[in-house]
Amino acid sequence: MTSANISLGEKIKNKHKYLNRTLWTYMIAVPLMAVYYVFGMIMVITKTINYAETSGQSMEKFYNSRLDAVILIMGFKQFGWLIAMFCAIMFAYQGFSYLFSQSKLDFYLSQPTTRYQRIRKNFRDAIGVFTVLYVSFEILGLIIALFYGAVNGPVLLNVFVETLRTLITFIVVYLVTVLAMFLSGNMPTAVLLTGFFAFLPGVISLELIQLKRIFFATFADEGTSNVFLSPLADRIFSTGASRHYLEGLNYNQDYNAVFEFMFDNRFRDLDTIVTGIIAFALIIIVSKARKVEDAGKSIIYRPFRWFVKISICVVGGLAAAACISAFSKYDTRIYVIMCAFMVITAVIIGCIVEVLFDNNNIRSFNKGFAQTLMAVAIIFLIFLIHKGDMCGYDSYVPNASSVESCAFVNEYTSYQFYEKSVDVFADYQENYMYITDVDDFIEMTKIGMAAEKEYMKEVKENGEYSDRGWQKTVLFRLKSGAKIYRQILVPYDIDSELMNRIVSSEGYKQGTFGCFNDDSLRKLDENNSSRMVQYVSFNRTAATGNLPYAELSDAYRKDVSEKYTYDLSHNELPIGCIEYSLNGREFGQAVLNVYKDYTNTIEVLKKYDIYLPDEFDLSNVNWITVTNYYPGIDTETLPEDGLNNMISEKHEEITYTDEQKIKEIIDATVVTDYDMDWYNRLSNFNFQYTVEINGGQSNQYYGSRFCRFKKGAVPDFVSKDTNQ
Amino acid sequence: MIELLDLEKSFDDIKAVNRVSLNIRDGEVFGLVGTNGAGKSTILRSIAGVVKPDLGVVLVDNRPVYDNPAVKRDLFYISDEQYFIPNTTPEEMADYYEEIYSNFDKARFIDMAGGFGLDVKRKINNFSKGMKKQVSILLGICSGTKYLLCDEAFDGLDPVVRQGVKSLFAAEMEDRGLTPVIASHNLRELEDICDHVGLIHLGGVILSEDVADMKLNIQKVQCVFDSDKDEKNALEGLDVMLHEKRGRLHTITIRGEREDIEAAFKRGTPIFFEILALTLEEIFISETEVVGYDIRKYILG
Repeated sequence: MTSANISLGEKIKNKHKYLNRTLWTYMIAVPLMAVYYVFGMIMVITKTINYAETSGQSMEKFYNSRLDAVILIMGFKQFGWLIAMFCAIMFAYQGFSYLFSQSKLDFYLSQPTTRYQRIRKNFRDAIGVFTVLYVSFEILGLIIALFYGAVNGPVLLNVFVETLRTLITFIVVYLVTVLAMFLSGNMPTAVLLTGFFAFLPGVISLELIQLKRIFFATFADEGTSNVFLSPLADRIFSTGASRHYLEGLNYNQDYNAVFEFMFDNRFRDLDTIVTGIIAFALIIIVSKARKVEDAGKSIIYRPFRWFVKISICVVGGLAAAACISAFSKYDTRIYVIMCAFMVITAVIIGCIVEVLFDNNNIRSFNKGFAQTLMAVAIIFLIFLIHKGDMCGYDSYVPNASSVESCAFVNEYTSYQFYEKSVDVFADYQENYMYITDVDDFIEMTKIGMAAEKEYMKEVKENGEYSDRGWQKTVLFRLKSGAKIYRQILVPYDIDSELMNRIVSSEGYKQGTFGCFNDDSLRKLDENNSSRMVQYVSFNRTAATGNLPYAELSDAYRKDVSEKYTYDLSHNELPIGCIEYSLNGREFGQAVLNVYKDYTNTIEVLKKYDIYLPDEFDLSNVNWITVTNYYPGIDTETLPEDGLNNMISEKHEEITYTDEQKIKEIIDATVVTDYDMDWYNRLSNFNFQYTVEINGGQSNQYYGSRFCRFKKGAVPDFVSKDTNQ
Repeated sequence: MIELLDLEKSFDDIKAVNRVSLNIRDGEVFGLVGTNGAGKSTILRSIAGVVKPDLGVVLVDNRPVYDNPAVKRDLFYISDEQYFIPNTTPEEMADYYEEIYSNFDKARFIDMAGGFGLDVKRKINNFSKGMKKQVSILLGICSGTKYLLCDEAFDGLDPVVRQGVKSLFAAEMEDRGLTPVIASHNLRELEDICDHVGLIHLGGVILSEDVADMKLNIQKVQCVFDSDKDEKNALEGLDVMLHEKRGRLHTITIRGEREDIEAAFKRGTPIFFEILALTLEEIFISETEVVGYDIRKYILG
């Protein structure tokens, strides 16, 4: 440009003049960054110091907390990208608002520059000013952190990478905003269009999820929130991921953690970069085609205007469908109402958009009916695709050859270990279950999907829920890197041989039982005085603090590896459970079901003198309360799911203290308050009665254990007493 | 020289400039006059390289102007609604232009602004419309460009300043060969400054001539004839543009040289005959009436 040959001093002088001219953006950006990066850093580190002083934190933890404070303010966990996005939008509006004013266009475009030189200069100024401000405040923040000894190599690398990511975020949001401005003829339209670009991908993604939830029985709400071409969503997801992923004592003292996080988030970062590249390419095209006389119009290109209107109408119409579905029962009538609301909403939104696009001219509300009609057609198409499952979503199972491994996910995990308020055993199955017997898993999934579809169809039609099997979420990890989640219902009567092959597999056990991946718990248990191991069996408990976790876990691993099968868990109930807990500064616990055949575990319990007989201690039972929820009926004589359709209006409750009756009742009951995955409850339990057995040492159950009668074993006197 | 070759520009369905060809010679004041909405500003913005023509080309010293910084360095454009960077003073605007135009003379600007009574350290947004116009014109003059394009240059200026600006233009033309191009509908303002005038109507050029030639080629005659036969004899073969008759007094605007018209009227032996001096405004009205632009028709019916 004209300043190409001027000296450095003049350039600095000119930069100063530029800053003066853009003072309002500068005045907003500087305090924001100062508050976040400088005062924020001081506050977070001060809080860390105060916490360490009051809680008696170890030096190692204290150091870790200080390092984490820097990462929280400037590293992967930061929220400073929100400031970057805000600045990007602000700088874009500051730099390109001339596009909306004839007098400004006359002023700038008559000067000896080309359009591209002007765009380039604005880009350079915005990116340059932001970079200088951002890096300056980061350096200030780092100096403060250094003063508190909160900086090391990995943290610096973390901050450096995050700085690059934030600059990329700034540039991409800046480009998208500039594109919105180039496509608009006035400021209000540009603001609307910026919002359109920012939120449309996220809204579409949410609506598609909601539609799947409404129409697909096997939809599992896991990992499906894929939002594309949205820097905002990319940042929200990656920040969320950083707060889950970057935990533990050593992540901020390990260079690899930085690279691993970058690798895990590569698709999000790539999506942001791709968005920027597309926006930049479109800016080049649009700026070349844009005419001076477009200033003052709304959206300057008619096809794009149509696209925006149709998109907003479609999104609005689908949102209406989602709202209706949230409030109503599913039947044919609801689908009619849904369609009516979609059309009405799309038409109303179409009218509003026309008014807005015609500079708030209310008389334009009935224009562009063809686009509204097109939007309605698209809405119906989307509705029909989902309602009729035209894409085969509800029957899709990947080819065995394309699957790398499978897993059950979202299962209850009997292990918990909290480090910095985060459970390291969360998402255990997803992290550790890798079943490679794909053919059997697919066969089970097909059966489960068919059962789930049939079940959900009945639920939608009748509004009644029943117990037909085990609700499971399955995951297929494809060789391509994609993940497929489905919700299935594994029926109780599924082929036990098939299930044995799956459940007995090494991959299933590794991903189900925390004892196979419990290094953190083992490490913390060593010489830990807060350890407590308690064995609970029927109405007896025994506890010790001497049993090392590692010894217990080794024995349990062996038993699970050798003895645990589908048949075992399907047909037998545990004889007791071991409750391990750490209650010091770190909280951890594990609940291990013990089966009769778990000889290695039983040996360890015996060694530490906490093994108990696998029966009720009758001498310690004070009373038993039996509740009959369906007096006058014998539910065992009803058809298989007859109980499901019955509504209990009254119940009978009898308390027994007579020793003989207590013995008879206990002989007829089974303890049901264990985690009983794969257990065939429907065949083995009587669901008409509950039995509360009070007394004994098992005070963690508030003095009671809850049981059910075995099927066909309800004592006659109980039937008689509760059915009068 | 600035050349407009078959320039065409439409805004949506409206053709603002329709096949305009003009030559603006160096060293003379070119006046672009026209009816409201005739396309004067669009032509000026095309010359300034702001508007891209749909068809045709604008050449400045044989170089196309659009998106051509090298050519734009020779042009300074003052639009009808001038824009100044928010919160700037005239001095800061001078600093800004100093970065852009290598020949910008800031000292002269400050000196001249003082001469016009403008405080160069006062925020421009506190200035009156006329003061802003003065700042723009002074910035334009001090930019040292070869061509100065002014849209409604004298709009809002008081008579003293207007005269001062005209003197400045004259001095600049004399000193360094400045070529001002002035678009206006105020023909009286242009009459005493323009050497050449282009008359624009409905996006097209009706006339482009030196003002002196223009006045020589159109004559306004007031006369009284004894009979219709005399009138017919006198007007035979003349290019009559307008003919009004009040009682026996004829007022006739005729295209042609004074001598030819005098000779023709001798044939008709009028009782009274006088050739009146035409103003630029009268020429403009006559020319536009010929092509159908007669606002009186709409007002008077």
